[in-house]
Order: sequence, then structure tokens, then C-alpha cells
Amino acid sequence: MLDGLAYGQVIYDERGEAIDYIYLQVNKNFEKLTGLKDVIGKKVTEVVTDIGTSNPDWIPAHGRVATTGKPERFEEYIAPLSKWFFISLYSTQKGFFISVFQNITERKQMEKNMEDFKLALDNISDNVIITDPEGVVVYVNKAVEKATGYKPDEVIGKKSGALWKTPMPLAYYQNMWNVIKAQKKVFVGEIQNRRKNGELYTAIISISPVLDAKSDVEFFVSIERDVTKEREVERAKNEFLSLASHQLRTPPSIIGWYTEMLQSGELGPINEKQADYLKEIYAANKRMIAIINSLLNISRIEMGTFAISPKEIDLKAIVDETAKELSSQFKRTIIMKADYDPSIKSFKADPNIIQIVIDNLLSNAFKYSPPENTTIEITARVENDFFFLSVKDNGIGIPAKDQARVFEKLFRADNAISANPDGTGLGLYMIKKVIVDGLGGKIWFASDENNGTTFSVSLPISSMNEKTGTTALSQTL
Amino acid sequence: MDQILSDKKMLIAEDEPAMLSALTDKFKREGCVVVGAKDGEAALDLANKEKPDIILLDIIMPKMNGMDVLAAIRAGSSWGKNVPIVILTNVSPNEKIMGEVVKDEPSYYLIKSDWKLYEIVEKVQNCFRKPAV
Repeated sequence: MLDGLAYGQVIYDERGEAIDYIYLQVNKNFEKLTGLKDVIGKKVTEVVTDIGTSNPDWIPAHGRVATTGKPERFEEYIAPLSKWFFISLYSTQKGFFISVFQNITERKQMEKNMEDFKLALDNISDNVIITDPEGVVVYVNKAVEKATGYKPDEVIGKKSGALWKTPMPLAYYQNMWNVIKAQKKVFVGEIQNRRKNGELYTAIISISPVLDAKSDVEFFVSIERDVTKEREVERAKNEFLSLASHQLRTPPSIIGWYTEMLQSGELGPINEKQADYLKEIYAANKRMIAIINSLLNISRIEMGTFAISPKEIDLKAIVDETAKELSSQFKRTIIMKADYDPSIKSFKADPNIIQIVIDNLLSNAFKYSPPENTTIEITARVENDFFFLSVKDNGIGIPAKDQARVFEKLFRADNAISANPDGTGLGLYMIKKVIVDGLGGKIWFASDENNGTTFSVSLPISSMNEKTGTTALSQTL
Repeated sequence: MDQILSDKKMLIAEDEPAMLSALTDKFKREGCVVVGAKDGEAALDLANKEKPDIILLDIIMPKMNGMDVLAAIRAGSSWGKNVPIVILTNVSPNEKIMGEVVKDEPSYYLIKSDWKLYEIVEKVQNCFRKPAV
């Protein structure tokens, strides 16, 4: 027998109120369960001196049962003993009682822990759903009702799949169950579920298997964060960007084409002054387009939504092509010295991104180089899983006082503005964002005023993995 | 001047009047016979009626957008499958558009603000230099 047993006689006062009782018999478990020794022949008030204050109904309960013969069962916390008991009181003879009891302190503690745990779970805004290994719901926190419209009693005992009505493709659920049940690993993913009213919502879900001592799955604990609103906002931002880019580009496209047609003389000869003015218009227009494209790129980079499609690239071809364009744009020939280590053949990169980086570094080198004896040196190599590129010019350099700011949005050093009034101040900011924030790479420089500048870039090879984004970055030259 | 575009029939689908004028004027000077459409439905109608030798297609247009027009032309007939189509737009390519480009194979996808008119003329000329596939 695991229960405790006590047999006692109640002591009544003149009015017939029970005021004490004597332990006549107790079993072996009594001491084990209560911690009280040698109680036989003693009054309860002797053995647990504060029982009258800590549990005012304790003695009266024994009295009632002993008087009426009607059994009573109850849970009681006996503070002086710091224990919880479940008591069953019987009486077969007036004035006497039999008590059968269990120590339920541990269960009570677990229930309290559970209560604390539930309180904590109810206070978090994420949905918490606990299921058995077959996916039958055993617990949901308060957030679940708020998010899905299902009350706990509508959900507990049902299979979770039947509730959310599985809007994802079959392969998604097959993969999910494989991870959490077969592999017993945590599954994290984006999922769409259905609310009670049929509405779809998007959530980031993580499902963790809880294993028992034999490493079998005992429960699945799933935590969902509703991201429907965030996805909405992202989608709206993307749509706005597309719309803005389209609207912003339209007028300069028109200006560019009409100016071009006037400049070409196909509508009739133009005099020198007219040609000059048209050149100014065309150049300013081109600047505007470059700014728009840079701003669009920056927005996409900041939203993390640009795509990466690595391919085999011909770096030499990209550099030569860009240099040719820049030569004609700046109307000077520059000596390009290139040192391409054969290791770069293995570097697959997104050609769009590489083009943007080369455009920016080379055009800066051109813009800020002296009009004669201009040499630009390019080196590229792959080493230790990194791609290294450097572009060195012997131009105006970056004054020491400005060096800390060159990567700032819209910053232009004074000597740069003098040499080239047309710059946007966005190029270095943009490529730093792409390289550092987008690809986890580094960009740095060494420069001395009037003695040239060397810009260097390093990209981890792993950063050029296929990344589906919503849009490709725009060219800005 | 290269005569390759002489007498070629061109359909330009473009809802922005100034752009339609600029492109029409330019290609007329190159010798093309030009018809214009200001929205996607008109563009599709005109394409099927006139069966032009080359189409310049904007994307953002009223009534029907350029990518849907492209898909409809490509699916419509054997002429439609082969006619060179140059997408001329100011919308940067996104995943959805690229998927449709891969499927419907325009000859070029050009961002208007990035290209000079004479470069667009060159690209159109290229469409007639390529062997028909």
C-alpha cells in the first residue's frame, strides 16, 4: 500500500465542537508521507502545533465526519509541513475517524508550473500549439484563438491539418513531417494556414519535436508568428518601387530621345551653340537617369529583394567593355594595366552585380584621374574562398579629412566636386551596400591627396549563391 | 544609311504619346511603315490584322499589359510564334517578367531610359539580320 493511514479519536468541547483529535493508529507510510514521527497517543495539536491557524477547517472536518459518518474528500496544503495532501476521511464509529491520504505535493508543483507556463504562453503574441506525435492538438495558447478564431475546445483533440485545411502544396507537408517525425529535427519555414472564417494568413512557423527518454517523439511544439501584415507591406513596397521606377523614368526617356534626334541633325543642321546647349541638356538628363537608377538599386538593396544569379563571367571582357565606354564618355584614352590571376576563372558571379561594381570603381578612377598620363591598374584573384578585386588610379586622391565619409549617402569631397560636378554621391554608398550588406563582403581603400587611390573589394565565394529576389539591380552608368 | 529597314511594317505599342511620336518619327526616317497602338487591346488587334514584320512593345499600357499581349501573340499563330518583338519598357525585370520572357522569347528586353534611339534602331536592324529560327 502506498497511501498513508491514520485512525483517530476526535475530542469535542462542551458545545460538541471538535477541538482536537488523538492519533490511535498509523501505518508505516504515515511517517514517510508526513515526516511526523511517533504520533501514536498524541494529539494533532501537539504534533502540528499551528494546525488550528494554518488549516482552520482541518480539525472541524475530522469532527464532522466522525459525528455524521458522512465521508469527506479534499485536497489540503498543510503549511507547517509544506506539503499538499489528498485526504479521504471515513467514520465507522461515532467519534472516531479513518483517514486515507496521499502526498500530492509533487503533482501540485507540476500543476503550478503548468499554470505559470500557460500564463507565460498566453502572454506571448505568437501562436503556440502542442500536438501529439500524430498531430492531434493537446494544447493551444490564447493567441491561437485570437489569430485563427478557433476556441480551445474546438481545436483540442482534432488533427491540426484538418483545422488549417492544408493550403500548401502536398510536398510541403511531406517535407515537414519528414523533418519533424522521421529526422526528429526542428522544422522552420514560411507557411500559409486558414483561419476559422476561411481567410488565409501567412506565418513563420517552427515545429520542434519533444523526445522522451527513449528518444521517441512525445509531442510537437509549434510556434507561429503571423507575418501576413509584413508580407503585405513588403509586397506594397515592391509594387510601389516598380511603379515609381516606371513613372520616374518616363520623362527623362522622352527628353533623351528628342534631344538625341535634334543632336543627330536628322531634322536639319544645328549650329555650334545649339549643339553645345543640347549637349548640356543630354548630360543633365543622363545624370537624372543615373540618380533614379541608383536610388532604385539602393531601395532594393535595403529591402534585400534583389536577385543573385551566378554565372561564369568574363571579367576581362566586362572591364574592357566598361573602359571603352568610359573612354568615349570622358573623351580620353587611359592606359589600362590588368593583372587577372587565372584563379578567377573559377569564380561564378552575378554579372549584373559585378558590372555595377566595375562601373562604379572604374568610372571613379576615370573621373578623378589627371587628363594626361593616366594609368589605371586592375588586379583580380581568387584566394582562400574569397574573390579579390582592386582598382588603382593616379588621380586626385581623397583628402584625409574626407576619407571617413566617402561611403556616406550623397557625400562628395570638395576636390571631387571640382573635378567632376556631375557626380551623384550615391555610387560608393550603393556598391558598399551591395557588397557588404548584400553579399557579406568588404570594400576598403588607400588614398593620398593628389597621389591616387586604390579601391579594394573582397567577396566570399559562398555569397554568390543563387538568390531569388524580386528584381534585378539596374545599371547606373 | 543601312537600308535593311526599308519598307518593313512596324507596329509600335506605346501609351505615352510623346514616346510614340519619337519612335514613330525615328523609324519612319529609317524607312519603316509604322502603325501605332495606344493600349494593349488595340495592339493585339492591330498585330493580328496587320501582321507586322516587327513589333515594339511597351509593358505598362491600359486595357492589357505588354507581357499579356506578348503571350497572346506568341500563342496565337505561327506568324505570332516567329515575329520579332522588342520589349521597350521602363519597368525593371522582376521574377515574374523574366519567367514570361523565358517562355515567350521577345528578341530584346530594353529599358527605355538606358538606350539611345540609334541603339534601338541597331537592335531592330539586328532582328532582320538574324536567320529566322
